[in-house]
Amino acid sequence: MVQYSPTVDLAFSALADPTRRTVLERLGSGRATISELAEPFGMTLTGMKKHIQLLEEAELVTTEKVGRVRWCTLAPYAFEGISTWLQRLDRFAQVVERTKGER
Amino acid sequence: MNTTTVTTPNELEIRVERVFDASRAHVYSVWTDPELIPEWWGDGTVVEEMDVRPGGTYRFQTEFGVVEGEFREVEPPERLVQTFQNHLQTLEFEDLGERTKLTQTMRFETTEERDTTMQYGVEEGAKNGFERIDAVLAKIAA
Repeated sequence: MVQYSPTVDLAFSALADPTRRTVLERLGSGRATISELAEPFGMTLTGMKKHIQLLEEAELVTTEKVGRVRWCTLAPYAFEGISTWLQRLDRFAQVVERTKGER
Repeated sequence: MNTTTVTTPNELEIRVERVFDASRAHVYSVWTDPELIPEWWGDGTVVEEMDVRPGGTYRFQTEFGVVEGEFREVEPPERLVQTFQNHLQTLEFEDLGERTKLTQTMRFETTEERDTTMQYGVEEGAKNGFERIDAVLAKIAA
């Protein structure tokens, strides 16, 4: 049994929500404030703060206060953990495909 | 600590009720006096615009970014209707003598938007906000 870091669990759980996936895509094009992120969803600041908090706990997003404004950015190497996990699964699938019919 | 009551009176609205231990004029000023806005929106908040009349707009730079909206109805010191983020907000201030009851009604375009907002802890958000407003009111009274 392979040990997964708890943040991988949190990352998948954070990614299970379409709003949070769209927020991540938006952050892919640069940093944003909570109100900038909330607006396209017609969401309140409180609602968006909750989403950002979950993404921060999953270590996918970091926030930093610059001057008087708090900025949200994608965390460096945010997707490394889950990407490693998916790649390994993909290799297993390829092995299964190659050895099909062999006993 | 005064109690905050959150209800959903119909399919499109959320209603928040709270009593403040302050006069109606003071409670009304918390929402309309540009000097008081940073006191409860948080350190570093800058009020760029506060044109309190029907059709006038407000705009604050806060820690969370820009917050802006438009005043629709302005009847000091008893009623204020304004757009706020994703909804229309009606604030009614009822004179209880030394105290003031606030009824804040948030009206959304769809039940879905209302429910999504409700899901993100309106009660918790309102309670925290009102506690900061209690502090502002104590400061004005002093």
